[in-house]
Amino acid sequence: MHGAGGTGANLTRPVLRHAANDQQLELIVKDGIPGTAMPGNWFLNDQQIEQVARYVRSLGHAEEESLPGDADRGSQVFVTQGCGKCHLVAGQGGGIGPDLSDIGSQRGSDYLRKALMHPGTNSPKNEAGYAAYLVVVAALDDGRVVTGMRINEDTFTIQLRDAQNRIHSLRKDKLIGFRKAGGSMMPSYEQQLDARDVDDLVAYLAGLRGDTQ
Amino acid sequence: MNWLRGFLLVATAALPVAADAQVPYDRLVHADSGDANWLTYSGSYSAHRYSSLDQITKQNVSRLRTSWVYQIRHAGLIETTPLVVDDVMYVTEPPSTVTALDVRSGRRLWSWSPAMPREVRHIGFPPVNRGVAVLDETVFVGTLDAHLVALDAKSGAVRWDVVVADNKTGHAITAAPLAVDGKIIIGISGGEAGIRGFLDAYDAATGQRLWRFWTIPAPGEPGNETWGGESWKTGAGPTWVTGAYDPKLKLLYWGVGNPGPDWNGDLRPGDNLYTCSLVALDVDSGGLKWHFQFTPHDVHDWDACQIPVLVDTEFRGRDRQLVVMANRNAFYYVLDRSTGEFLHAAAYAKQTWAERIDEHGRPILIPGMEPSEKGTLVYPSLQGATNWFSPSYSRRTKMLYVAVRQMGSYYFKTDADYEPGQPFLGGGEQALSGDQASGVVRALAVDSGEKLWDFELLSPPWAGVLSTAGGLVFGGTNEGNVFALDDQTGKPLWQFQTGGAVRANPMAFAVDGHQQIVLAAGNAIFVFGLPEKQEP
Repeated sequence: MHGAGGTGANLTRPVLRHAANDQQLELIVKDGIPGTAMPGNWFLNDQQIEQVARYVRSLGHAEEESLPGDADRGSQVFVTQGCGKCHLVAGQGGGIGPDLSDIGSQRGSDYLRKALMHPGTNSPKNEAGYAAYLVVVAALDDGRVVTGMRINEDTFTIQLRDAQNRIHSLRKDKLIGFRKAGGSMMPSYEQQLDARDVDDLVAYLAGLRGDTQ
Repeated sequence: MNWLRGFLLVATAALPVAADAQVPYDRLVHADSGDANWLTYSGSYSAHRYSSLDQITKQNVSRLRTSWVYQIRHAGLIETTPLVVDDVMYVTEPPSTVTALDVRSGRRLWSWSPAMPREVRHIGFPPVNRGVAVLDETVFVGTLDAHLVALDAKSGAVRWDVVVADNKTGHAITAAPLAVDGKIIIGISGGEAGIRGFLDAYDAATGQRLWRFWTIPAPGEPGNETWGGESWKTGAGPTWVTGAYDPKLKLLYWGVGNPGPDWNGDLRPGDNLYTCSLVALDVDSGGLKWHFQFTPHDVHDWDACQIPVLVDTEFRGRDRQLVVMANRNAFYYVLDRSTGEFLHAAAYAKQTWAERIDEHGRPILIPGMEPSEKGTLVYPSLQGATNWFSPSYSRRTKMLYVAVRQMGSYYFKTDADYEPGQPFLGGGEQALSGDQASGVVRALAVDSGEKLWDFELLSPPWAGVLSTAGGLVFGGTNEGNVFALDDQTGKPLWQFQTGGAVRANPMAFAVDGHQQIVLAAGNAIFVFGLPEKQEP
């Protein structure tokens, strides 16, 4: 919430993407943001909603987090490590992992550092409150085993995206094995990057605010 | 002409029930005797939500197809149970619109919407409506701004419109009314607004209020001593789910909601009667015959606004008239419905708040499960092990089918100051959602609550269930599946992805000899039937 933790948007900004003014911010506190994991808070009264909104707005007056890394060099690390094979930035790159074009607005530096070193431990949620990017292993009745990220699921079916970006639509009654493995399809960069690389890459990612064209 | 129209309306309203009335009281009494219609919210006064129609079976249900789909005009949550009366379906659309549909085509015959103020208060719940009641040639609906309205069944014209309570103080109506002999029974919402709850009866012909049963006794009345100080004045106890009725005993059975403020019980010391209770009321006077409180001094919002199901069966070697309820607090209760005698209780879902239910029906509490400043993890969640959506009792299998929510919550406690028309809560919750929660359709032995089978659901359901003489149990999921299960085993036999969350109760009817299954999902009402001709 303060830019250093949490799974929601970075609120330490003077302008919030979904709340251009106080009225919109109060509506978000009350009703949430449809299509995101931000829930409504129906149990707050009008005064409490105003108080929460005022507090959130005050976070935007806090000084931006000072990061040790070099963002320009971080952008080179991003390229050399092949991050773009799986992630989009400003429309360029692959679509397996999350789009990072606005990641600096959405996540704080602690979150980003953790995502690089220990992928899967941040446990972000999708709009329905389920673990986003959950890794599932499914054994089909024809002998195949599919490992992929859960895209969607209901009581009868599940849809997965594998490491080759192929989508698998599976009926649960046709599976002989089904395991929610947790973790992440993203490899850990703990051994591949030194401390400077990590600082620089985090600085680069933290600077992605959706305005790079 | 206006004076003539007014005269005719008054004259019509004052006439005795016509001999050819569409739905006379006697027809409602026998609504569960194999009729092709669905005449009252739960299908019958016994609230079995069971269809005697048996054309759709375990063998042919896999061929079920959509007969037609009706799209509501303004997006919102649909929680309606449609009624079907002689080829006309009456549905409600959010927030309080009533629409009559041709059951053959799904085409609209008429629609009526109330003129409501722009700012309608619905504190603690979404702007929904669960359906209408029909008596004689009139359709009855409660509105979000707490009116009760009578509409001509053929045209949708207003016969009368009465204010049940003031919406500015958080009173609202979401429940379907219950029509009995010349009376319309209607419950009230507002349990999170510090109302003083009640159940009302109105004259079906004139709209005149016949009686009001206050769910919170006033000073001098039995039960008021269970409220500390002046707390009874804002004690809540809403009645927001339609009850059941025994025409022979002439008793109404109605669940009463939570006390207010919800999560801070310090402000209302005592058992807080008749909150979280089932009350049995004389239908003519509204007098209390008996009550049973499931959750004394509730601090988790586990109101008893679930469906009381009336069952005549053998219990411990003796034929008895029972009322059973799968309660929001995760226990299943069996009571004698003529006396209110407590007979049996058993947990039917995960719960971490009570060691057991004692021989008098009172829970023995586990210490430390109250809401706290830092949050206390308790099962079930605020929304309970089940909620307003209906269970179903099958006369075929003698099982009670319940859509069960498997979810815990951190309960928080805060101060609460009553202000009219504002939330009066004293806390809140943070639910364990997503992959930490799930659901089941659970089959229970009706006399013991013993689990007989489960059908697992991805997420805690918001949809009720319907059982049929064809050996099936129908239900729906948050993810949009409508499904049919084998009523003996729970094995899934058919499913259809509607594309929108199911938050309603299924029902069944027949048209031209063809059985149909109805369930709302997303912003539409889906009607399913077998293909009229055998597919090649």
